[in-house]
Amino acid sequence: MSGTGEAVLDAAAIAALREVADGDESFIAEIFGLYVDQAAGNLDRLRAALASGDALLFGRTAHAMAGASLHIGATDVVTACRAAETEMRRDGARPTEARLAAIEAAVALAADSIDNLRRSGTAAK
Amino acid sequence: MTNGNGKVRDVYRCPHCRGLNEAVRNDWCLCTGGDQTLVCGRCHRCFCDAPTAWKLEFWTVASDALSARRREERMARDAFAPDGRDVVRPVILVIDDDRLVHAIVERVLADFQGTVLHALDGRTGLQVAQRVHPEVVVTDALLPGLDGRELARTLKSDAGTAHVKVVIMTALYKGARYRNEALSEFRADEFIEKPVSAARLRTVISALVDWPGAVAVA
Repeated sequence: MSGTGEAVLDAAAIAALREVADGDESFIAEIFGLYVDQAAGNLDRLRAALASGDALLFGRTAHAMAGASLHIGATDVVTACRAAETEMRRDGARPTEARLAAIEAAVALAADSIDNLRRSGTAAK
Repeated sequence: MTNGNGKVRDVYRCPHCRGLNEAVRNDWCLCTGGDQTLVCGRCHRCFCDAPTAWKLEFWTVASDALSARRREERMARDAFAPDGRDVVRPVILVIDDDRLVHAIVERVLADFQGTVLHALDGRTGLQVAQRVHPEVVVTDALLPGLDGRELARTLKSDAGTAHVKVVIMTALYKGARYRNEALSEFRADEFIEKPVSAARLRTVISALVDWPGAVAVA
């Protein structure tokens, strides 16, 4: 990673966000803030789904996280969430620690990248 | 929510992220068909899907100021477009459980000379659509409560809302097969793949509703 988070966050997605922002850096910051806040809530829901063995909730939450992650280019989160979502659709599927851990790790990396972008001031360039 | 002496206060913890909030200053949620509660200033989730017991306690001990605000909000909601006549048209209703999408679409529609309404789940979105009859509904495909594609079919099957243009957004059901299914089986008017592109959204919306300058800007 270059230290700006670009390696973890897909450049094309960031470019698309910048197109929407139209030069307004505060908008990019708002989107990143929303993403991090939503991700925290969704991770709580995934943990709750794991604890209760609720595959439907686990899959739906993973789907929601994948969708949000697409918009900021967090491709590793998308991949981990899609895998979980696909698995949860299978008959008899149950949430697993491994699936949760994979998503948590990917979200942590994405959050680090967001922080790096914020610190380097390149979030909205 | 009380200070130990049974006295009411306006600082409470969010049922979702446990963050501290000052209730009177927090935004009201956009779930016009739901309970209408507050939005957490930290995690931005509303309390409509909080446990019922939590909500009961919340409103039982809420201060007079907050209760008064709730009454005002409810009155405003009830007065708002009971049959869609009070809104500035054209109206675009955005339905998605992802707040990023609302923020992005709102931004893309910043110069749209009409009204943009928001709903965070399918059932609320359907209720708003049936009441307001928006010119365009932009909905996520997979939604809590009611699937966006089923919502499209419901609107198109009702003579009162069949004229409403429906755009389905999806991060999951991508490709020609799903596009054709959305347009034919669910009778949607357009289909957008996520992540939402500003140019694509402007092109699609401007083709469905009067939006002078939309394509030129895109």
